[in-house]
Amino acid sequence: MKFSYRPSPNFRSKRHTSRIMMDLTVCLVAVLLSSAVYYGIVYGAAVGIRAVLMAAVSVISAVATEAAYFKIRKYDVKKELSHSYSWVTALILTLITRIDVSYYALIVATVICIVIGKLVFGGFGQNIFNPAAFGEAIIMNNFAASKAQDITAKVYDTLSGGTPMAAMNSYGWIIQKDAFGGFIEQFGGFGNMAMGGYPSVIGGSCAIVILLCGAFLLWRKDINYHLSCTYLAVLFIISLIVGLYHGAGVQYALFHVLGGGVLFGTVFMMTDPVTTPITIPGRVIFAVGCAALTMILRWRSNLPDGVLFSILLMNMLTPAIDRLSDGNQIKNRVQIRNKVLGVSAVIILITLLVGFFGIEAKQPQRTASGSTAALNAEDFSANEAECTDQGGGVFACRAKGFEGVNEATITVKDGKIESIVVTGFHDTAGVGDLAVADAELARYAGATLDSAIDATSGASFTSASLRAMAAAALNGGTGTAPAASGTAPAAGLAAEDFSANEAACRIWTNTDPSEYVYKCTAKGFEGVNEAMVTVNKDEGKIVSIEVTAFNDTKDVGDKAVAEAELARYAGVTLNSEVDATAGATFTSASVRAMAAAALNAAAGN
Amino acid sequence: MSFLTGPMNHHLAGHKEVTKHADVLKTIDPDVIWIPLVNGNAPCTPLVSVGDEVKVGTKIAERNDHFYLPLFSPVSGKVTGIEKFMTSGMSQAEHLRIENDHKHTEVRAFPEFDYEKASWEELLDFVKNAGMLGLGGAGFPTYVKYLKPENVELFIVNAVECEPYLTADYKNIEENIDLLKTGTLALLKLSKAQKGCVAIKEDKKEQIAALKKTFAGTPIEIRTVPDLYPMGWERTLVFQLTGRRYDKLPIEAGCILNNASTAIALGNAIENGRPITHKYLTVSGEAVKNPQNVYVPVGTRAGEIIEACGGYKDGLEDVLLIAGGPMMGRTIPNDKFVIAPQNNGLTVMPNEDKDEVKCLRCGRCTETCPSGLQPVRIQMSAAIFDEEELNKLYVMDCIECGMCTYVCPSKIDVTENVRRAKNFIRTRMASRAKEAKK
Repeated sequence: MKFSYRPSPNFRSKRHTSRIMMDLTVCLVAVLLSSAVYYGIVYGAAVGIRAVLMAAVSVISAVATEAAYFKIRKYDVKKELSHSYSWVTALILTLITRIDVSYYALIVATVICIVIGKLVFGGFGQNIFNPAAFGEAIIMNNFAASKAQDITAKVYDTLSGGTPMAAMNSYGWIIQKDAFGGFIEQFGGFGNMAMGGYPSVIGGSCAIVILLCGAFLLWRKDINYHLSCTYLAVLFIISLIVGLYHGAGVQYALFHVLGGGVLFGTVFMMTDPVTTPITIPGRVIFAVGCAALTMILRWRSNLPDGVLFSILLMNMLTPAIDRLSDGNQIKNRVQIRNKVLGVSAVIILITLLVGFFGIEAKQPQRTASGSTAALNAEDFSANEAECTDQGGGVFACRAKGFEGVNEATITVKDGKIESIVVTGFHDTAGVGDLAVADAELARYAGATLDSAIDATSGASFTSASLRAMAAAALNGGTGTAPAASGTAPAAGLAAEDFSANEAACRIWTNTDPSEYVYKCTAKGFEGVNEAMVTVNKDEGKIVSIEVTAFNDTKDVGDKAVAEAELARYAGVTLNSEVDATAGATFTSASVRAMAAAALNAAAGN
Repeated sequence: MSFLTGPMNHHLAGHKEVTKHADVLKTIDPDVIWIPLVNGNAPCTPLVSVGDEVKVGTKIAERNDHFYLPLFSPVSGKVTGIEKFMTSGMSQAEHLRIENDHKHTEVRAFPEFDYEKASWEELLDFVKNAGMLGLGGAGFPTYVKYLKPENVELFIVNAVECEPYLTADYKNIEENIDLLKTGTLALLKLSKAQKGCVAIKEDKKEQIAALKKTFAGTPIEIRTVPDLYPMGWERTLVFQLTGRRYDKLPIEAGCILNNASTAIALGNAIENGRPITHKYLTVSGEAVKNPQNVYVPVGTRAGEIIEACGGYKDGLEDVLLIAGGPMMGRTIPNDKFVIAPQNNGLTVMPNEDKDEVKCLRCGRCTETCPSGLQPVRIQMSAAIFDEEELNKLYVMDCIECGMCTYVCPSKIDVTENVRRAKNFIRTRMASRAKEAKK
């Protein structure tokens, strides 16, 4: 009998690092598959398959890179590979990438993040940066333009159309409580966001699946709840306080948690033990720092989302945080607790100050008439104002503002405005309502058609809406929207100026050489409309137009996309004149612009 | 514990069912025994010479430096020599070789003693001269703890036995519950505490009931503690029972602790005049054929005990023979070592390769460390011999309970690395002391 020696203890738990990594792999694959299903359903099977292919490409290049490295270093390749878990990095990298990133960019990023992000530091367990975040930073900074040219064209528009974070950014990161419902509607509400129905990175698509994975990993004790829970809680609290300060509600905080990469980052990236502090106090500080940086980067930087870079920045501080929380957790517990509380308090305070004074609500960039010309000289056509004479000089007026139609009762006497009472305000609360304050409205008293009324600063759209109503009332209720009368002079499509519509078309199908189908987009009144335009290439004629997305004002613009109206386009060439649809000038122009763009594309212009 | 510290303990699979219900094997009566002439790191002086006849209970050696501890013969027979070999504590020590005549001639080591009538000083003397020592594993002379029992609020009998596989205390209590009562009440008197308690794991339901019955009407309470490791360690147990932490000794937190086996041994000395001659010992593990408890004379060779338990499992060529339980017990690379009074188990495990991976800094060792240390940070600082950082990390507070190695998912020998760091610090301190002398 041989009596061997091993240092005590000779009793070990069954849990193995490989099992932890296996759990992670299972979860990552679950997220990947749910994303693939989502993309498959929404954009077609080919896009769904592309998500899986991207993961496969990344995993293969990661493993191949490591295999080559171990071979060169003359290690036992098989053993090292199985203990290096590079596929986890590759999967995470794929999941934080957008679906339209080219395979080429993905491969280069994977190789760089494995070699420079991991192997040069000494391999698994030694790297200082989260390798997947490192790789994604490479893609974002160096391959922003390397978009896939294949099937993803279908998705491209939607994605560049705006992630929740990009949309929030265009509003200056503050949306008032009352306006939030309308804002969140573009992403289908919180329910839809939880199910992943909004453009994002591949893995950001399904909050429910990510949360389930998080719960599973917590239950298996694979990830640390101190990190994830602290991060989520601090992020929620900071955005809640800042939101309340600016007049936003709980939804605002919820939006910060659900939108963007917060959940995915919490479950799969922040919890990477290799690059985060070892002690629990250290992890709490790390999580607080990450939450603060996420918010500051969102508010003040031009990055698409702050999660990734907050993790990378905090990774750099990990050794310092480790030293901060060194000591005996029992004997030094008071000092360590004070350090954690002190550091966290300072970080949170700074973030709150940035939130209080560093952000300001704004309306998305769109030129509004802020002119100070006389009312009768201003162009209020966009407001489509109309007034109903109710007798005795009292007019009930309506005019478009920024996102809704505002209503006011205007009393006119001797060609002068006596009073304006706003009866219906439907623009952005907390922004547009500056223009309808009593003091602002008082400025209209005595105004004639020749008066110049300054726009209310910060509320130019609503202000324009009011001025349009005022002008309409002074005109005796005749209205100011010239297009509404349907008299817009129609010229040949080639001669019209559609530059404002920014129409763009790309080939959707060209299986029939004589009939090309184009997918076109063009700005209408307040949104971007989309249509599938079928063109007979040989004759340079439009065969049909089918509007696939209508984003202008309901019950106004949609007159222009009625079937009968669209039927008028059949047989239209670049030289045809197409009349604008009465009462829907803007949308009509948008459709004409798309028609012209498709014809131009077919003609090879 | 609070949000900022880990649980500082962990539930381990006890594997106690294997031996808990089996009968204790009491027939082992070796032809030769070897009494280790060492207590802690201090050598003991033999009081008999080669050729002397001894009886069961004859005082044969004593430690007489700043502590006093007598050793007694567990068998009757003849002293035939002094041999030096490795002890169960993995140090080289002299052993008194006694040939057993199998007659079990007994001499009463102590006169009749009534602890209830005796004064506190007489009781302390009795404990000292009876050779009572910490049978939980430390082997520390018991009387020393009671020299200045000031402001002691709670006297604790430690019957937790949190080490996996071991059931020796359990069996000992089961068979000697009346002696436990005598010993406990005597120690309570010695501690001058108002209250006492027996701490026992909550899953030992039958024994809890028996203890409650036995101690009914005494100031001794039966306190249950959760089935966690290392619940039997003084600091963890004191914190569990009182919510207090202390710096060096439990008396700072108003507590004195003794192992249940120590209390039983004292009961045996008071009631029957017998010193510590025999030990309850758990023989268990995945590699022994008949796991069970044995009752053997101190000084019995490990190999003989394993043989009496059916030997090693068939087909095994390579085993780890551990003196004690698998967590804190030391692996001894031979089976010639003998059972010292403080030993309470032999665990035999198959020697299996472990799949070691690089550290992923998961921090589990930090969360479970009962001393509140950061084993992984110690390990990293030890690798670069950073003495200052190691001191900042309180490396010497480590009790080598083995928890960090147990929980490590990368299967790294964390405890061993911390042990090396401690040795490094000790060497540094010793060489510095030497220089200071010059």
